[in-house]
Amino acid sequence: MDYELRTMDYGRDIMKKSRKNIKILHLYYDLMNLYGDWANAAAMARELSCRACDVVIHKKSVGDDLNFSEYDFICVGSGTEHSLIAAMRDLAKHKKSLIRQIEEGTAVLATGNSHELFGSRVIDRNGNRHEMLGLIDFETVQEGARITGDCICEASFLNGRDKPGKNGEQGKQNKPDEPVIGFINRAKGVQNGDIKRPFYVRPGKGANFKAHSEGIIYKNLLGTYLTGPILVRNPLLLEYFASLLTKEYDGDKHKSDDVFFKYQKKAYEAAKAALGGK
Amino acid sequence: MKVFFAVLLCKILYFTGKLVGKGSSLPGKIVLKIFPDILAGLKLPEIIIAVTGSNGKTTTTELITYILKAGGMKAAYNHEGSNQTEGIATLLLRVASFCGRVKPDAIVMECDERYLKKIFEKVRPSALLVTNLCRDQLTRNGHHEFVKDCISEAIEAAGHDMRLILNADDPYVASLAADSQTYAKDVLWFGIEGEHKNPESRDKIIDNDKPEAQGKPDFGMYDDGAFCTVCKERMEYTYRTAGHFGDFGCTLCNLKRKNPDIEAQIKNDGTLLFSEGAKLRMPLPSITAAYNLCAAAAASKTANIAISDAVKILDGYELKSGRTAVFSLGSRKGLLLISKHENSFAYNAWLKWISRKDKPCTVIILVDSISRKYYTCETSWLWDIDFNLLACQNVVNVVLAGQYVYDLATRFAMTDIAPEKMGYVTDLKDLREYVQKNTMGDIYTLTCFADKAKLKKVFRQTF
Ligand SMILES: [Zn+2]
Repeated sequence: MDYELRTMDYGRDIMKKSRKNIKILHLYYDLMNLYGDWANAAAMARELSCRACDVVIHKKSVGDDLNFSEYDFICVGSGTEHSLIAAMRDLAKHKKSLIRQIEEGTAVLATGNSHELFGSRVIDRNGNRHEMLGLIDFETVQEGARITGDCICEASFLNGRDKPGKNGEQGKQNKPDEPVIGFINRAKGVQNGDIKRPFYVRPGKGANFKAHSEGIIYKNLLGTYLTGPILVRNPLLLEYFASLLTKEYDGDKHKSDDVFFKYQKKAYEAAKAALGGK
Repeated sequence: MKVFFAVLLCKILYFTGKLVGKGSSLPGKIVLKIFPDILAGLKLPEIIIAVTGSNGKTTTTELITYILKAGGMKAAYNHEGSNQTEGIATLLLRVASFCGRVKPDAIVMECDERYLKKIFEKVRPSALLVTNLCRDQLTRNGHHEFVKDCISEAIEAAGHDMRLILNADDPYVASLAADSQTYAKDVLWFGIEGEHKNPESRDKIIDNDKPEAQGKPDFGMYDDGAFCTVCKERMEYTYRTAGHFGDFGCTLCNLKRKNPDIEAQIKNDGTLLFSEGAKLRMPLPSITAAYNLCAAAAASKTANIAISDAVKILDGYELKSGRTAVFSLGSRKGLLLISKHENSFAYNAWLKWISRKDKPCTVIILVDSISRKYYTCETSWLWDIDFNLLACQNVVNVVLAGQYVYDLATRFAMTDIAPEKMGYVTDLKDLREYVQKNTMGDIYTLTCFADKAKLKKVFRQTF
């Protein structure tokens, strides 16, 4: 089952030649979408439509034909522990082509437990081993209970990065003290493997009990235990991903005209303050 | 002697607690601290019905108790809603005699899904009713498959002589019987008939106009019925009544809807017709109410009350644990709709109900504190709710309010609701005036228990 949805159609001017066509893949939309993760695809579409892009979102799931090279951005969301294994069962068929795309620099966001797919294996609460894609060398060992909680993360990969300015001008640099906020909701357990981590979790729990680091980052793939609509909650992270696709900002529709971006910023500031972030 | 003191202590604490308006879990908590195994020393009645599930626990517990009482039994339930071990201890001790005999003929106890096993270690029920398993309070529950596993463990631990009363339409609940060989036989199934037998209910209450009902999820909608919870292959439905409830069948394993022992049909006139021929008027014509009533009738059957008698008793019954309250703002009518936050199922049900009203109306969505039990910034549940249902003609204004107004605003920015219909109120003090000056029509206010008192103040009413 797959559907093509033309979303966020506003501001589209077909007379304008410079518009860029962008395809977003929302992978396992009906299997791995436990905590509102779909909103990441929607937020990307919204941001890109302010950057002179025509955006379509493809929703694909188990059993569908998948041609990863078609897509500019791929997102996959959180699922139950059983659902993750089912997703892997299907993804095994597409292992080579997905890894090739990641190596070539396709932007990928994996929220919640879905980033475990890119590790070597998952060992479930009953001790069963499930082989994963093996792109990054780590294994996830699950226990019975769960870990949930609000998080504030330092994300050094976002710091110092150029923000795109309006009409292609050079933008300001991000302030290094703008953290990523979110919520972790996952099976209790540990991740073994000495790998590069994108997030340092200040209040909140990391991938392991002692270390505060969390997530995976490899080329333009970002994975994190933060669940759900993290691109909605973090304006900076949304801009980071959008900038991987285009740096232009000369759409017919400007971000400042859009209530989404206005309230996105305010929601971020309010949550950050409530969580005790700077 | 131990029992005497425990009962005395609990009663004193319970009644003093009541005077000062304290919760009902504290007496049980204190008594259990002093006498940890006191419940084992109680003489319990034969009929103990435990009620658990994501939605409808409180209502169904109340309904069952009402049926049993009207049927001539003495029955008690944890009406304050304290549904963990301590709350159950309070319930049992406060209705016990000083020699430790629990006096009522029947105990109906609402139980928290995740504490079920702990409760069963202290009190073994004669029957367990599972209403449904939906996305609910995921910040503390993780997800409903995890909750299902918790219930499954509790059932295994409770042993053979406990009767199961299960929702036949919910694949997650149905799989509880599939998990257990011992229980596969002795299950009392209840369910709501689909429109294939009942075309007249099609547009009104049962949810077949949604694209998801035709197997096509809409953008942004989740579908917890897409895959089998047992083997994770695709599931198929011949019809759905709501969400993932319906006539399901796995395309691989043998999980499928069982023919219900107690089945009811929703009629267009707001009545519920049971397969035995008995009929009752629903307090609120909603699919949720139908399931609760059907579940309550099924549960009373395990206490030897015939379905036809239970239906007669339930006819036109007004709930004590009311989920609605009427208010007014000048000449305008208002209705407060209580819906648990972090529960998209309950929200969607109300939104659907509002969207089917004929008269122009204003909808206020208030999210000020997500839960009264814990603080969180987690708002992802807002993305599970189909707020696009309010993009309809009769809804002329939508006002977002409360501490989480900006999170609500980003969510609503992704709907088709016209921007000029939208209003945002950050300070609750301004809400009343804003609604008066900028909106029109009847007022529907959606919020949760935690924020109910704040609205009372806003609209200067007694709910
Ligand atoms: Zn199956």
